[in-house]
Amino acid sequence: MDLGILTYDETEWATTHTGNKVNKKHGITGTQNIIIAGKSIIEKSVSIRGGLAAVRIGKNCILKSGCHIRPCFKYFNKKPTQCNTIIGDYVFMEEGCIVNASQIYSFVHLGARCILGNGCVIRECSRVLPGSVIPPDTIFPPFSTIGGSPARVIGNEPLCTENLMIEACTMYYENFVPKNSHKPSLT
Amino acid sequence: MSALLQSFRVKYECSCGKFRNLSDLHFCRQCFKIKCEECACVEIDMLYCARCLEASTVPEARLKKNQCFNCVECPMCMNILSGRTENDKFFLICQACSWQTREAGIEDRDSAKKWPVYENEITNEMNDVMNHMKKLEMIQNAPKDSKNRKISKGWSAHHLPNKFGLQSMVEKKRQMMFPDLTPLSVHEPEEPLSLEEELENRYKSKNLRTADQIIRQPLASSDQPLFPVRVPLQGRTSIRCDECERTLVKRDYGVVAYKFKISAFAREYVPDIRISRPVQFENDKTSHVLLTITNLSSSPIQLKISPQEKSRDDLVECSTPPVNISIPCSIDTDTAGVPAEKSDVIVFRQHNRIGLNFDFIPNQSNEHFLALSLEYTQNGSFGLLADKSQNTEEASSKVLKANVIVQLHN
Repeated sequence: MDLGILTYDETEWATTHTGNKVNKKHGITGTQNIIIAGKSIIEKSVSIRGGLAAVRIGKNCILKSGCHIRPCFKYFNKKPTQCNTIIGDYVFMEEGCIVNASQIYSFVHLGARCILGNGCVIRECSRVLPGSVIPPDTIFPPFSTIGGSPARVIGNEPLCTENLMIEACTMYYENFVPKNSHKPSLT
Repeated sequence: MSALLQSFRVKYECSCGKFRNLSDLHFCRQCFKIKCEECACVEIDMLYCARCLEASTVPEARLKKNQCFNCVECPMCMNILSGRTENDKFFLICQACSWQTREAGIEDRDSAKKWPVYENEITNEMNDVMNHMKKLEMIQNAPKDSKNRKISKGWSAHHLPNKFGLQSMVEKKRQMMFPDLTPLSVHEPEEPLSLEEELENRYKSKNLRTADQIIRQPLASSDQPLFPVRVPLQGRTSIRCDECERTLVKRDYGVVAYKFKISAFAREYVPDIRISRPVQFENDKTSHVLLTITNLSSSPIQLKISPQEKSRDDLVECSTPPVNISIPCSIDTDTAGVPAEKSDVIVFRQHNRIGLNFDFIPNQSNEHFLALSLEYTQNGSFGLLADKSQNTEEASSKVLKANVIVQLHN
Protein backbone atom coordinates (compact mmCIF):
# COMPACT_ATOMS: atom_id res chain seq x y z
CA MET A 1 0.00 0.00 0.00
CA ASP A 2 1.29 3.46 -0.87
CA LEU A 3 1.72 5.84 2.04
CA GLY A 4 -0.96 8.50 1.97
CA ILE A 5 -0.50 12.24 2.23
CA LEU A 6 -0.15 13.51 5.82
CA THR A 7 -0.78 17.17 6.53
CA TYR A 8 0.50 19.18 9.44
CA ASP A 9 -0.15 22.61 10.92
CA GLU A 10 2.75 24.88 9.99
CA THR A 11 2.45 26.89 13.19
CA GLU A 12 3.24 23.81 15.26
CA TRP A 13 6.25 22.71 13.27
CA ALA A 14 9.72 24.11 12.66
CA THR A 15 11.70 23.38 9.51
CA THR A 16 15.48 23.67 9.46
CA HIS A 17 17.54 24.64 6.42
CA THR A 18 18.65 21.02 6.00
CA GLY A 19 15.01 19.98 5.62
CA ASN A 20 14.43 18.57 9.12
CA LYS A 21 10.86 18.97 10.32
CA VAL A 22 10.57 19.16 14.11
CA ASN A 23 7.39 19.54 16.13
CA LYS A 24 7.64 22.44 18.55
CA LYS A 25 6.16 20.37 21.39
CA HIS A 26 9.25 18.25 21.71
CA GLY A 27 11.39 17.27 24.68
CA ILE A 28 14.80 17.71 23.11
CA THR A 29 17.49 18.80 25.54
CA GLY A 30 21.15 19.58 25.00
CA THR A 31 20.74 20.67 21.41
CA GLN A 32 24.45 21.50 21.06
CA ASN A 33 25.15 17.76 21.39
CA ILE A 34 22.61 16.62 18.80
CA ILE A 35 23.34 16.32 15.09
CA ILE A 36 20.52 15.51 12.69
CA ALA A 37 21.75 15.07 9.13
CA GLY A 38 18.67 16.28 7.25
CA LYS A 39 15.22 15.50 5.88
CA SER A 40 14.23 13.87 9.16
CA ILE A 41 10.82 14.16 10.79
CA ILE A 42 10.59 14.47 14.56
CA GLU A 43 7.02 14.32 15.81
CA LYS A 44 5.25 15.55 18.92
CA SER A 45 6.61 14.71 22.39
CA VAL A 46 9.78 13.05 21.16
CA SER A 47 12.52 13.44 23.71
CA ILE A 48 16.22 13.26 22.92
CA ARG A 49 18.56 13.54 25.91
CA GLY A 50 21.44 15.35 24.25
CA GLY A 51 22.47 16.73 27.63
CA LEU A 52 23.86 13.34 28.69
CA ALA A 53 26.05 12.58 25.64
CA ALA A 54 26.17 13.25 21.91
CA VAL A 55 23.37 11.90 19.71
CA ARG A 56 23.86 11.63 15.96
CA ILE A 57 20.89 10.89 13.73
CA GLY A 58 21.30 10.20 10.01
CA LYS A 59 19.28 11.51 7.10
CA ASN A 60 15.67 10.65 6.23
CA CYS A 61 14.89 9.27 9.70
CA ILE A 62 11.35 9.32 11.01
CA LEU A 63 10.74 9.51 14.75
CA LYS A 64 7.04 9.19 15.50
CA SER A 65 5.37 10.64 18.56
CA GLY A 66 6.45 9.58 22.02
CA CYS A 67 9.88 8.22 21.09
CA HIS A 68 12.51 8.59 23.74
CA ILE A 69 16.21 8.52 22.86
CA ARG A 70 18.69 8.41 25.69
CA PRO A 71 22.44 7.79 25.35
CA CYS A 72 23.63 4.56 26.93
CA PHE A 73 26.14 4.32 29.74
CA LYS A 74 28.99 1.92 30.22
CA TYR A 75 31.05 1.08 33.27
CA PHE A 76 34.71 1.97 32.97
CA ASN A 77 36.77 1.47 36.15
CA LYS A 78 33.57 0.97 38.13
CA LYS A 79 32.27 4.40 37.13
CA PRO A 80 29.42 4.77 34.69
CA THR A 81 30.27 6.90 31.64
CA GLN A 82 27.68 8.12 29.17
CA CYS A 83 28.42 6.98 25.63
CA ASN A 84 27.30 8.52 22.36
CA THR A 85 24.29 7.18 20.51
CA ILE A 86 24.51 6.87 16.74
CA ILE A 87 21.46 6.29 14.57
CA GLY A 88 22.00 5.61 10.87
CA ASP A 89 20.16 6.79 7.78
CA TYR A 90 16.60 5.80 6.82
CA VAL A 91 15.59 4.60 10.30
CA PHE A 92 11.86 4.45 10.97
CA MET A 93 10.73 4.55 14.61
CA GLU A 94 7.07 3.98 15.34
CA GLU A 95 5.21 5.48 18.30
CA GLY A 96 6.47 5.14 21.85
CA CYS A 97 9.88 3.53 21.29
CA ILE A 98 12.37 3.80 24.11
CA VAL A 99 15.87 3.74 22.67
CA ASN A 100 18.79 3.31 25.02
CA ALA A 101 20.94 1.65 22.37
CA SER A 102 24.54 2.38 21.61
CA GLN A 103 24.14 2.16 17.86
CA ILE A 104 21.33 1.63 15.40
CA TYR A 105 22.64 1.15 11.88
CA SER A 106 20.88 2.25 8.68
CA PHE A 107 17.60 0.94 7.22
CA VAL A 108 16.21 -0.28 10.56
CA HIS A 109 12.48 -0.34 11.30
CA LEU A 110 11.51 -0.21 14.98
CA GLY A 111 7.94 -1.31 15.71
CA ALA A 112 5.62 0.56 18.08
CA ARG A 113 6.39 0.57 21.81
CA CYS A 114 9.56 -1.46 21.60
CA ILE A 115 12.26 -1.02 24.21
CA LEU A 116 15.94 -1.13 23.33
CA GLY A 117 18.09 -1.86 26.36
CA ASN A 118 21.29 -0.19 27.43
CA GLY A 119 24.14 -0.47 24.93
CA CYS A 120 22.53 -2.78 22.39
CA VAL A 121 23.54 -2.69 18.73
CA ILE A 122 21.19 -3.34 15.81
CA ARG A 123 22.87 -3.84 12.44
CA GLU A 124 21.57 -2.82 9.04
CA CYS A 125 18.26 -3.78 7.42
CA SER A 126 16.75 -5.28 10.59
CA ARG A 127 13.23 -4.99 11.89
CA VAL A 128 12.16 -4.98 15.53
CA LEU A 129 8.61 -6.22 15.98
CA PRO A 130 6.15 -4.07 17.96
CA GLY A 131 6.34 -4.46 21.73
CA SER A 132 9.62 -6.35 21.87
CA VAL A 133 12.06 -5.79 24.68
CA ILE A 134 15.75 -6.00 23.79
CA PRO A 135 17.93 -6.78 26.82
CA PRO A 136 21.09 -4.72 27.46
CA ASP A 137 24.37 -5.34 25.59
CA THR A 138 22.95 -7.52 22.83
CA ILE A 139 24.08 -7.41 19.21
CA PHE A 140 21.94 -8.39 16.25
CA PRO A 141 23.28 -9.26 12.79
CA PRO A 142 22.03 -7.60 9.56
CA PHE A 143 18.73 -8.71 7.99
CA SER A 144 17.24 -10.08 11.22
CA THR A 145 13.64 -9.88 12.38
CA ILE A 146 13.81 -9.32 16.12
CA GLY A 147 10.92 -10.03 18.45
CA GLY A 148 9.84 -11.25 21.89
CA SER A 149 10.74 -10.39 25.44
CA PRO A 150 13.68 -10.91 25.88
CA ALA A 151 14.07 -10.31 22.16
CA ARG A 152 15.66 -12.89 19.88
CA VAL A 153 16.20 -13.25 16.17
CA ILE A 154 13.03 -14.96 14.96
CA GLY A 155 13.39 -14.64 11.21
CA ASN A 156 15.00 -12.93 8.27
CA GLU A 157 14.10 -9.76 6.47
CA PRO A 158 13.93 -9.71 2.66
CA LEU A 159 17.30 -9.08 1.07
CA CYS A 160 16.09 -5.94 -0.74
CA THR A 161 15.16 -4.22 2.56
CA GLU A 162 17.63 -1.42 1.82
CA ASN A 163 15.70 -0.36 -1.31
CA LEU A 164 12.33 -0.78 0.44
CA MET A 165 13.38 1.40 3.39
CA ILE A 166 14.78 4.13 1.14
CA GLU A 167 11.54 4.10 -0.84
CA ALA A 168 9.29 4.16 2.22
CA CYS A 169 11.18 6.83 4.18
CA THR A 170 11.49 9.08 1.12
CA MET A 171 7.80 8.61 0.31
CA TYR A 172 6.84 9.42 3.91
CA TYR A 173 8.91 12.62 3.86
CA GLU A 174 7.57 13.74 0.48
CA ASN A 175 3.96 13.11 1.51
CA PHE A 176 4.38 14.97 4.81
CA VAL A 177 3.20 18.43 3.75
CA PRO A 178 1.80 21.59 5.39
CA LYS A 179 -1.99 21.90 5.53
CA ASN A 180 -2.30 24.87 3.22
CA SER A 181 0.19 23.80 0.59
CA HIS A 182 -1.08 22.35 -2.63
CA LYS A 183 0.74 19.14 -3.13
CA PRO A 184 -0.81 17.84 -6.32
CA SER A 185 -2.93 14.97 -5.14
CA LEU A 186 -2.92 12.57 -8.02
CA THR A 187 -5.96 10.63 -6.99
CA MET B 1 9.54 -2.35 5.91
CA SER B 2 7.22 -4.71 4.15
CA ALA B 3 4.88 -4.15 7.10
CA LEU B 4 4.72 -0.39 6.53
CA LEU B 5 4.11 -0.69 2.79
CA GLN B 6 1.84 -3.73 3.34
CA SER B 7 3.59 -5.54 0.54
CA PHE B 8 2.06 -8.84 1.74
CA ARG B 9 -1.19 -7.79 0.05
CA VAL B 10 0.21 -8.34 -3.44
CA LYS B 11 1.54 -11.81 -4.20
CA TYR B 12 3.42 -12.83 -7.33
CA GLU B 13 3.51 -16.34 -8.69
CA CYS B 14 6.96 -17.90 -8.61
CA SER B 15 8.07 -20.29 -11.36
CA CYS B 16 7.47 -23.14 -8.87
CA GLY B 17 3.79 -22.16 -8.57
CA LYS B 18 3.82 -20.62 -5.10
CA PHE B 19 2.58 -17.10 -4.47
CA ARG B 20 4.98 -14.84 -2.59
CA ASN B 21 5.78 -11.20 -1.88
CA LEU B 22 7.74 -9.49 -4.63
CA SER B 23 10.45 -8.54 -2.14
CA ASP B 24 11.12 -12.23 -1.40
CA LEU B 25 11.54 -13.18 -5.06
CA HIS B 26 14.55 -13.20 -7.37
CA PHE B 27 14.78 -13.04 -11.13
CA CYS B 28 17.18 -15.14 -13.19
CA ARG B 29 18.39 -12.99 -16.08
CA GLN B 30 19.45 -16.00 -18.11
CA CYS B 31 16.38 -18.22 -17.78
CA PHE B 32 13.95 -15.24 -17.62
CA LYS B 33 12.20 -16.87 -14.68
CA ILE B 34 11.10 -15.73 -11.25
CA LYS B 35 12.71 -17.77 -8.50
CA CYS B 36 12.00 -17.98 -4.80
CA GLU B 37 14.30 -19.29 -2.09
CA GLU B 38 12.53 -22.64 -2.09
CA CYS B 39 12.93 -23.44 -5.77
CA ALA B 40 16.43 -21.96 -6.15
CA CYS B 41 19.58 -23.53 -4.68
CA VAL B 42 20.47 -21.98 -1.35
CA GLU B 43 24.11 -22.43 -0.43
CA ILE B 44 25.92 -21.70 2.78
CA ASP B 45 28.32 -18.88 2.13
CA MET B 46 29.81 -18.32 5.53
CA LEU B 47 29.43 -19.55 9.11
CA TYR B 48 29.29 -17.05 11.92
CA CYS B 49 28.15 -16.54 15.47
CA ALA B 50 25.09 -14.31 15.55
CA ARG B 51 25.94 -13.04 19.04
CA CYS B 52 29.55 -11.87 18.60
CA LEU B 53 29.47 -11.64 14.76
CA GLU B 54 32.69 -13.63 14.43
CA ALA B 55 33.14 -15.70 11.28
CA SER B 56 34.56 -19.21 11.41
CA THR B 57 35.80 -21.54 8.71
CA VAL B 58 34.17 -24.90 8.03
CA PRO B 59 36.91 -27.11 9.59
CA GLU B 60 37.01 -24.80 12.60
CA ALA B 61 33.24 -25.01 12.96
CA ARG B 62 33.36 -28.79 12.73
CA LEU B 63 35.99 -28.88 15.44
CA LYS B 64 33.84 -26.66 17.65
CA LYS B 65 30.75 -28.81 16.98
CA ASN B 66 29.12 -25.84 15.17
CA GLN B 67 29.09 -23.80 18.34
CA CYS B 68 30.73 -20.55 19.32
CA PHE B 69 33.15 -21.06 22.20
CA ASN B 70 33.14 -17.42 23.28
CA CYS B 71 29.40 -16.81 23.69
CA VAL B 72 27.01 -18.58 26.02
CA GLU B 73 23.28 -18.15 26.39
CA CYS B 74 21.09 -18.22 29.46
CA PRO B 75 19.50 -21.68 29.85
CA MET B 76 16.29 -20.09 31.13
CA CYS B 77 15.43 -17.26 28.73
CA MET B 78 17.97 -17.79 25.88
CA ASN B 79 19.41 -14.33 26.24
CA ILE B 80 23.16 -13.78 25.97
CA LEU B 81 25.04 -14.00 29.28
CA SER B 82 27.49 -11.28 30.21
CA GLY B 83 30.51 -11.63 32.46
CA ARG B 84 30.94 -9.93 35.82
CA THR B 85 33.98 -9.87 38.09
CA GLU B 86 34.11 -10.20 41.83
CA ASN B 87 37.41 -10.60 43.69
CA ASP B 88 39.20 -10.99 40.33
CA LYS B 89 37.05 -14.00 39.44
CA PHE B 90 34.42 -14.21 36.75
CA PHE B 91 30.84 -15.30 36.85
CA LEU B 92 28.07 -14.92 34.26
CA ILE B 93 24.77 -13.14 34.66
CA CYS B 94 21.72 -12.84 32.41
CA GLN B 95 20.60 -9.24 32.12
CA ALA B 96 17.05 -10.20 31.22
CA CYS B 97 16.12 -12.72 33.96
CA SER B 98 19.04 -12.25 36.44
CA TRP B 99 20.02 -15.91 36.26
CA GLN B 100 23.60 -16.47 37.44
CA THR B 101 26.10 -19.26 36.95
CA ARG B 102 26.27 -19.46 40.75
CA GLU B 103 22.69 -20.73 40.75
CA ALA B 104 23.80 -23.75 38.73
CA GLY B 105 26.48 -24.47 41.31
CA ILE B 106 29.33 -23.41 39.04
CA GLU B 107 32.16 -21.79 40.97
CA ASP B 108 33.59 -18.45 39.82
CA ARG B 109 36.41 -18.87 37.32
CA ASP B 110 39.68 -17.21 36.40
CA SER B 111 38.65 -16.64 32.79
CA ALA B 112 35.30 -15.62 31.31
CA LYS B 113 35.56 -18.35 28.65
CA LYS B 114 35.20 -22.14 28.74
CA TRP B 115 32.20 -22.84 30.88
CA PRO B 116 31.24 -26.45 31.58
CA VAL B 117 28.69 -28.22 29.41
CA TYR B 118 27.13 -31.64 29.74
CA GLU B 119 29.00 -34.24 27.70
CA ASN B 120 27.63 -37.57 26.60
CA GLU B 121 28.77 -40.24 29.04
CA ILE B 122 29.64 -42.72 26.34
CA THR B 123 31.69 -40.29 24.18
CA ASN B 124 34.94 -42.22 24.77
CA GLU B 125 33.28 -45.52 24.00
CA MET B 126 31.82 -44.05 20.81
CA ASN B 127 35.24 -42.77 19.74
CA ASP B 128 36.77 -46.22 20.33
CA VAL B 129 34.09 -47.83 18.17
CA MET B 130 34.63 -45.23 15.43
CA ASN B 131 38.40 -45.92 15.40
CA HIS B 132 37.76 -49.66 15.29
CA MET B 133 35.41 -49.27 12.34
CA LYS B 134 37.99 -47.14 10.51
CA LYS B 135 40.58 -49.89 10.94
CA LEU B 136 38.12 -52.46 9.62
CA GLU B 137 37.46 -50.23 6.60
CA MET B 138 41.20 -50.02 5.94
CA ILE B 139 41.55 -53.81 6.00
CA GLN B 140 38.58 -54.19 3.70
CA ASN B 141 40.01 -51.76 1.18
CA ALA B 142 43.61 -53.06 1.36
CA PRO B 143 43.31 -55.62 -1.50
CA LYS B 144 41.74 -52.96 -3.71
CA ASP B 145 44.47 -50.46 -2.94
CA SER B 146 47.27 -52.93 -3.59
CA LYS B 147 45.65 -53.89 -6.91
CA ASN B 148 45.65 -50.30 -8.04
CA ARG B 149 49.35 -49.95 -7.34
CA LYS B 150 51.58 -50.57 -10.33
CA ILE B 151 54.17 -52.96 -8.96
CA SER B 152 55.40 -55.96 -10.87
CA LYS B 153 54.42 -59.20 -9.20
CA GLY B 154 57.85 -60.76 -9.44
CA TRP B 155 59.51 -58.08 -7.38
CA SER B 156 59.20 -57.96 -3.66
CA ALA B 157 61.06 -55.92 -1.12
CA HIS B 158 61.35 -59.01 1.08
CA HIS B 159 64.24 -60.21 -1.05
CA LEU B 160 66.26 -57.12 -0.35
CA PRO B 161 68.92 -57.25 2.29
CA ASN B 162 68.09 -54.96 5.20
CA LYS B 163 71.07 -52.83 4.39
CA PHE B 164 69.48 -49.47 3.69
CA GLY B 165 66.51 -49.79 6.03
CA LEU B 166 64.19 -50.59 3.14
CA GLN B 167 62.84 -53.68 4.82
CA SER B 168 61.57 -51.74 7.83
CA MET B 169 59.96 -49.13 5.55
CA VAL B 170 58.02 -51.79 3.68
CA GLU B 171 57.07 -53.44 6.93
CA LYS B 172 55.72 -50.14 8.27
CA LYS B 173 53.62 -49.60 5.18
CA ARG B 174 52.33 -53.13 5.47
CA GLN B 175 51.34 -52.54 9.05
CA MET B 176 49.51 -49.39 8.08
CA MET B 177 47.50 -51.35 5.56
CA PHE B 178 46.75 -54.16 8.01
CA PRO B 179 46.47 -52.52 11.44
CA ASP B 180 46.33 -54.63 14.56
CA LEU B 181 42.85 -55.24 15.82
CA THR B 182 42.10 -55.46 19.49
CA PRO B 183 38.55 -56.57 20.07
CA LEU B 184 36.40 -54.05 21.93
CA SER B 185 34.29 -54.89 24.89
CA VAL B 186 30.61 -55.13 24.12
CA HIS B 187 28.51 -52.16 25.15
CA GLU B 188 26.09 -53.11 27.85
CA PRO B 189 22.86 -51.23 27.47
CA GLU B 190 21.19 -49.84 30.54
CA GLU B 191 17.56 -50.28 31.19
CA PRO B 192 15.97 -46.94 30.16
CA LEU B 193 13.45 -45.28 32.41
CA SER B 194 9.87 -45.82 31.44
CA LEU B 195 7.88 -42.79 30.32
CA GLU B 196 5.85 -42.81 33.54
CA GLU B 197 8.96 -42.84 35.70
CA GLU B 198 10.58 -40.06 33.72
CA LEU B 199 7.50 -37.87 33.91
CA GLU B 200 7.25 -38.54 37.63
CA ASN B 201 10.91 -37.56 38.11
CA ARG B 202 10.34 -34.40 36.17
CA TYR B 203 7.29 -33.55 38.21
CA LYS B 204 9.09 -34.24 41.49
CA SER B 205 12.06 -32.00 40.70
CA LYS B 206 11.82 -28.50 42.11
CA ASN B 207 12.20 -26.64 38.85
CA LEU B 208 9.76 -27.58 36.16
CA ARG B 209 11.35 -27.00 32.78
CA THR B 210 9.86 -25.84 29.53
CA ALA B 211 10.19 -27.91 26.38
CA ASP B 212 12.63 -25.34 24.97
CA GLN B 213 14.92 -25.66 27.95
CA ILE B 214 14.92 -29.46 27.75
CA ILE B 215 15.55 -29.49 24.00
CA ARG B 216 18.49 -27.13 24.32
CA GLN B 217 20.14 -29.33 26.97
CA PRO B 218 18.98 -32.89 26.36
CA LEU B 219 21.93 -34.36 28.27
CA ALA B 220 20.96 -32.70 31.55
CA SER B 221 18.75 -35.01 33.57
CA SER B 222 15.85 -33.59 35.54
CA ASP B 223 17.76 -33.58 38.86
CA GLN B 224 20.85 -31.85 37.44
CA PRO B 225 21.02 -28.04 37.19
CA LEU B 226 21.00 -26.37 33.79
CA PHE B 227 24.34 -25.03 32.56
CA PRO B 228 25.02 -22.11 30.20
CA VAL B 229 24.33 -23.10 26.58
CA ARG B 230 26.87 -22.50 23.84
CA VAL B 231 25.54 -20.41 20.95
CA PRO B 232 25.03 -22.41 17.75
CA LEU B 233 26.70 -20.99 14.64
CA GLN B 234 24.55 -19.64 11.85
CA GLY B 235 24.99 -19.87 8.12
CA ARG B 236 24.85 -16.92 5.76
CA THR B 237 23.43 -18.01 2.44
CA SER B 238 23.90 -17.17 -1.20
CA ILE B 239 21.29 -18.08 -3.80
CA ARG B 240 21.89 -19.80 -7.13
CA CYS B 241 19.45 -20.55 -9.97
CA ASP B 242 18.60 -24.25 -10.01
CA GLU B 243 18.45 -24.44 -13.82
CA CYS B 244 21.40 -22.46 -15.16
CA GLU B 245 23.38 -22.51 -11.89
CA ARG B 246 24.18 -18.83 -12.08
CA THR B 247 24.41 -16.87 -8.85
CA LEU B 248 21.36 -14.74 -8.10
CA VAL B 249 22.34 -13.25 -4.78
CA LYS B 250 25.75 -13.07 -3.16
CA ARG B 251 26.65 -10.73 -0.34
CA ASP B 252 29.90 -8.82 0.03
CA TYR B 253 32.70 -10.39 2.03
CA GLY B 254 32.36 -9.97 5.79
CA VAL B 255 29.79 -11.06 8.36
CA VAL B 256 28.25 -7.64 8.80
CA ALA B 257 28.15 -6.74 5.09
CA TYR B 258 24.71 -5.72 3.92
CA LYS B 259 25.63 -4.77 0.35
CA PHE B 260 25.67 -7.28 -2.47
CA LYS B 261 28.33 -8.41 -4.91
CA ILE B 262 25.65 -9.93 -7.12
CA SER B 263 21.94 -9.28 -6.74
CA ALA B 264 18.99 -10.03 -8.96
CA PHE B 265 15.91 -9.01 -7.01
CA ALA B 266 12.63 -9.54 -8.81
CA ARG B 267 11.44 -6.01 -8.02
CA GLU B 268 14.20 -4.64 -10.27
CA TYR B 269 12.93 -6.61 -13.26
CA VAL B 270 9.20 -7.20 -12.74
CA PRO B 271 6.69 -4.30 -12.60
CA ASP B 272 5.91 -3.58 -8.95
CA ILE B 273 2.16 -3.47 -8.24
CA ARG B 274 0.83 -1.84 -5.09
CA ILE B 275 -2.58 -0.86 -3.73
CA SER B 276 -2.65 2.94 -3.56
CA ARG B 277 -5.62 3.65 -1.30
CA PRO B 278 -7.79 1.54 1.02
CA VAL B 279 -10.55 -0.16 -0.97
CA GLN B 280 -14.19 0.78 -0.28
CA PHE B 281 -16.58 -2.12 -0.73
CA GLU B 282 -20.19 -1.68 -1.72
CA ASN B 283 -22.24 -4.84 -1.73
CA ASP B 284 -23.34 -5.97 -5.18
CA LYS B 285 -22.27 -2.63 -6.63
CA THR B 286 -19.26 -1.88 -8.74
CA SER B 287 -16.34 -0.91 -6.50
CA HIS B 288 -13.00 0.59 -7.47
CA VAL B 289 -9.43 -0.22 -6.59
CA LEU B 290 -6.53 2.08 -7.43
CA LEU B 291 -3.33 0.21 -8.17
CA THR B 292 0.03 1.89 -8.76
CA ILE B 293 2.51 0.17 -11.03
CA THR B 294 6.16 1.11 -10.71
CA ASN B 295 8.96 0.25 -13.09
CA LEU B 296 12.12 -0.08 -11.02
CA SER B 297 14.16 -1.63 -13.84
CA SER B 298 16.78 0.18 -15.88
CA SER B 299 14.81 0.05 -19.15
CA PRO B 300 11.27 1.02 -20.23
CA ILE B 301 8.57 -1.65 -19.96
CA GLN B 302 5.74 -2.42 -22.37
CA LEU B 303 3.05 -3.86 -20.17
CA LYS B 304 -0.30 -5.54 -20.75
CA ILE B 305 -2.43 -6.10 -17.66
CA SER B 306 -5.46 -8.29 -17.98
CA PRO B 307 -7.76 -9.34 -15.14
CA GLN B 308 -8.19 -13.09 -14.87
CA GLU B 309 -11.52 -14.84 -15.00
CA LYS B 310 -13.25 -15.84 -11.79
CA SER B 311 -12.04 -19.38 -11.24
CA ARG B 312 -12.32 -19.50 -7.44
CA ASP B 313 -14.99 -18.37 -4.99
CA ASP B 314 -12.82 -15.79 -3.25
CA LEU B 315 -11.83 -14.07 -6.50
CA VAL B 316 -13.74 -10.96 -7.52
CA GLU B 317 -15.16 -10.38 -10.96
CA CYS B 318 -13.33 -7.55 -12.71
CA SER B 319 -15.08 -5.69 -15.51
CA THR B 320 -12.07 -3.61 -16.68
CA PRO B 321 -10.78 -4.63 -20.12
CA PRO B 322 -7.07 -5.48 -20.57
CA VAL B 323 -4.80 -2.41 -20.46
CA ASN B 324 -1.75 -1.79 -22.63
CA ILE B 325 0.70 0.76 -21.25
CA SER B 326 4.35 1.67 -21.49
CA ILE B 327 6.16 2.72 -18.32
CA PRO B 328 9.42 4.69 -18.52
CA CYS B 329 12.33 3.53 -16.40
CA SER B 330 13.39 5.18 -13.17
CA ILE B 331 16.26 7.05 -14.89
CA ASP B 332 13.84 9.00 -17.13
CA THR B 333 12.32 11.02 -14.34
CA ASP B 334 11.40 14.11 -16.41
CA THR B 335 7.68 13.39 -16.44
CA ALA B 336 6.30 15.15 -13.40
CA GLY B 337 3.04 14.09 -11.79
CA VAL B 338 0.26 14.86 -14.23
CA PRO B 339 -3.29 13.61 -14.50
CA ALA B 340 -3.06 11.29 -17.45
CA GLU B 341 -4.76 11.23 -20.82
CA LYS B 342 -8.53 10.94 -20.82
CA SER B 343 -9.02 7.36 -19.88
CA ASP B 344 -11.20 5.57 -17.39
CA VAL B 345 -8.44 3.21 -16.42
CA ILE B 346 -5.24 5.28 -16.30
CA VAL B 347 -5.59 7.77 -13.45
CA PHE B 348 -2.14 9.39 -13.36
CA ARG B 349 1.43 9.11 -14.58
CA GLN B 350 4.28 10.19 -12.37
CA HIS B 351 7.92 9.49 -13.25
CA ASN B 352 8.14 5.72 -13.45
CA ARG B 353 4.77 5.17 -11.76
CA ILE B 354 1.34 4.78 -13.27
CA GLY B 355 -1.96 4.70 -11.41
CA LEU B 356 -4.64 2.37 -12.76
CA ASN B 357 -8.26 2.14 -11.72
CA PHE B 358 -9.91 -1.27 -11.79
CA ASP B 359 -13.64 -1.82 -11.44
CA PHE B 360 -14.86 -4.97 -9.77
CA ILE B 361 -17.96 -6.44 -8.19
CA PRO B 362 -17.30 -7.74 -4.64
CA ASN B 363 -18.29 -11.33 -3.99
CA GLN B 364 -20.49 -12.58 -1.17
CA SER B 365 -17.73 -13.83 1.15
CA ASN B 366 -15.54 -11.68 3.38
CA GLU B 367 -12.43 -12.35 1.36
CA HIS B 368 -11.83 -10.51 -1.88
CA PHE B 369 -8.91 -11.27 -4.16
CA LEU B 370 -8.19 -9.79 -7.57
CA ALA B 371 -6.20 -11.98 -9.97
CA LEU B 372 -4.20 -10.23 -12.69
CA SER B 373 -1.92 -11.55 -15.37
CA LEU B 374 0.95 -9.43 -16.62
CA GLU B 375 2.65 -9.68 -19.99
CA TYR B 376 5.61 -7.41 -20.43
CA THR B 377 8.60 -6.82 -22.65
CA GLN B 378 11.70 -4.91 -21.80
CA ASN B 379 14.19 -3.57 -24.24
CA GLY B 380 17.63 -2.07 -23.82
CA SER B 381 19.90 -3.18 -21.05
CA PHE B 382 17.81 -6.16 -20.13
CA GLY B 383 18.47 -7.89 -23.43
CA LEU B 384 22.18 -7.25 -23.20
CA LEU B 385 22.29 -9.09 -19.94
CA ALA B 386 20.93 -12.24 -21.53
CA ASP B 387 23.12 -15.17 -22.44
CA LYS B 388 25.45 -14.27 -25.30
CA SER B 389 24.55 -17.42 -27.22
CA GLN B 390 20.99 -16.14 -27.49
CA ASN B 391 20.12 -13.55 -30.03
CA THR B 392 20.09 -10.18 -28.28
CA GLU B 393 17.14 -8.90 -30.22
CA GLU B 394 15.20 -12.03 -29.49
CA ALA B 395 15.97 -11.65 -25.79
CA SER B 396 14.92 -8.01 -25.68
CA SER B 397 11.60 -8.68 -27.38
CA LYS B 398 10.85 -11.74 -25.29
CA VAL B 399 7.38 -11.56 -23.75
CA LEU B 400 7.60 -12.29 -20.05
CA LYS B 401 4.60 -13.34 -18.00
CA ALA B 402 3.68 -13.05 -14.36
CA ASN B 403 0.56 -13.85 -12.37
CA VAL B 404 -0.42 -11.62 -9.49
CA ILE B 405 -3.04 -11.92 -6.76
CA VAL B 406 -4.05 -8.73 -4.95
CA GLN B 407 -5.70 -8.96 -1.53
CA LEU B 408 -8.36 -6.24 -1.55
CA HIS B 409 -9.75 -6.69 1.98
CA ASN B 410 -7.81 -5.64 5.06
